Amino acid sequence: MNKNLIVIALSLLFLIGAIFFSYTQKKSLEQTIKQVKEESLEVKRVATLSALWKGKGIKSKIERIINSISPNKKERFQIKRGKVEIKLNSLTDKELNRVLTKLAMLPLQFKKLQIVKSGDNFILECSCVW
Amino acid sequence: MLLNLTIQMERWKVLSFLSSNGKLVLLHKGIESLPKASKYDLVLSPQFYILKKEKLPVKYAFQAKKLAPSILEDLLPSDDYGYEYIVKKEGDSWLFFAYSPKEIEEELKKCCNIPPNKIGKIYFADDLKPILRKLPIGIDEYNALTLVDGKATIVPRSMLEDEKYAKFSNKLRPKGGFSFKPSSKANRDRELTQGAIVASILIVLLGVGFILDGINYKRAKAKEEAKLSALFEEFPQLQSKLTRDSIKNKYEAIEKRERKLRELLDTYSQLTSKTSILDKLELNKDKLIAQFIVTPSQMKKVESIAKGAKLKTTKVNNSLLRVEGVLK
Repeated sequence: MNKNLIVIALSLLFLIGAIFFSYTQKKSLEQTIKQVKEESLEVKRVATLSALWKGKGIKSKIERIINSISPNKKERFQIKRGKVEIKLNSLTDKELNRVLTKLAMLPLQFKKLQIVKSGDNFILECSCVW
Repeated sequence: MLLNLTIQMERWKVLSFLSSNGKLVLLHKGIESLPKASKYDLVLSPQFYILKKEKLPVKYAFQAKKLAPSILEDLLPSDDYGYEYIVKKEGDSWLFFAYSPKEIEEELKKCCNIPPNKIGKIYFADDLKPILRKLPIGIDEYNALTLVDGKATIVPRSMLEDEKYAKFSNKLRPKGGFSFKPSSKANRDRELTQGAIVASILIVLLGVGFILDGINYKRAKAKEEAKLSALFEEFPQLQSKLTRDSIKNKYEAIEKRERKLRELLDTYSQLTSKTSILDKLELNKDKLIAQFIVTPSQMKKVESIAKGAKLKTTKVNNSLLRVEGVLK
């Protein structure tokens, strides 16, 4: 009788141990899934942000935009180490619209942006970094 | 010669091993010890059974056995010992035996701690009649088994005239014999043991199932971790949480400001028309301020569009409208 009880008690102990093992592994998996999901999203988000705002080939794109304006309207155009300074005079409203829209489409951080109406034309002055 | 004898002895050993017979023991009350064996065949002394000889008009043993309880009823004690009945044909009469498995189990337990499952066959002392007719069998120092009125009986040695006694051994094994039927308690114990074993096996199997389940979870966890490792291999600089937070905070602030700035530029461009012309626009640290020259008739319309876009408007004069957008 006692032997029977011992055998059943031992097997129950084994079962409890097994259930505990399974439960802890399940909890651990759930935690890992949550953690992996959160970290993956974060890594992808950071990678995307980093890639977006450290955009490559921006210099040539800016040059292409500014070079579409006639040289006599360019009072200042300077690109140096991830920074551009632009001052354009006598821009028509269409030119202003085109230049500003194209610059805004680039991942640039505007540090300065000033537009002033001068007669029928506009003066655009801006300073951006990337 | 010696070699032949050795081979013969080995054969006997093998035959004895193959035989299902256990150690033959004469069980009597007051027995003190038994030699060690894996199985015991018992010759029950008359102390352990009741015998009655009866002539009955029945042909078969199974018919006689059905009548055994009623025939032996008067001879059996009223204690509920759960008797087993055995019948044998002797001449034109039937021999009715009744024995109590429980009583036998208790005696074996008391004297030698032998469990019921070690009992193989049982025989009755009356089965030893052919030997007892020649010599009594010595049971212990004071008692012997002999025939009294044709029935095996234990008597004191002092009552016997014989000087010689047969020594009880395996060689005296009678013919026939019956399988011992354990008492209901022993059966219950055995059933309990079997039940416990089955239950334990099922519990252990269930436990194994849980362990396998746990191992699967563990493997799945390793796979998940491998996904993250692969991602970190692609972006090794982002392994550190601190680095990630630092980069994220930096670029999220930039992203938020620059997106808002572009949204405001888009809204301001919608405010311009032939009747509403941009006069000036300036970017501050956290504001984008624009001033529009608006024909007085269109002032309210432009102002309502600006307010609809949640911009702060200030009328400078009849034709000048100042609009402020916050970069947050």
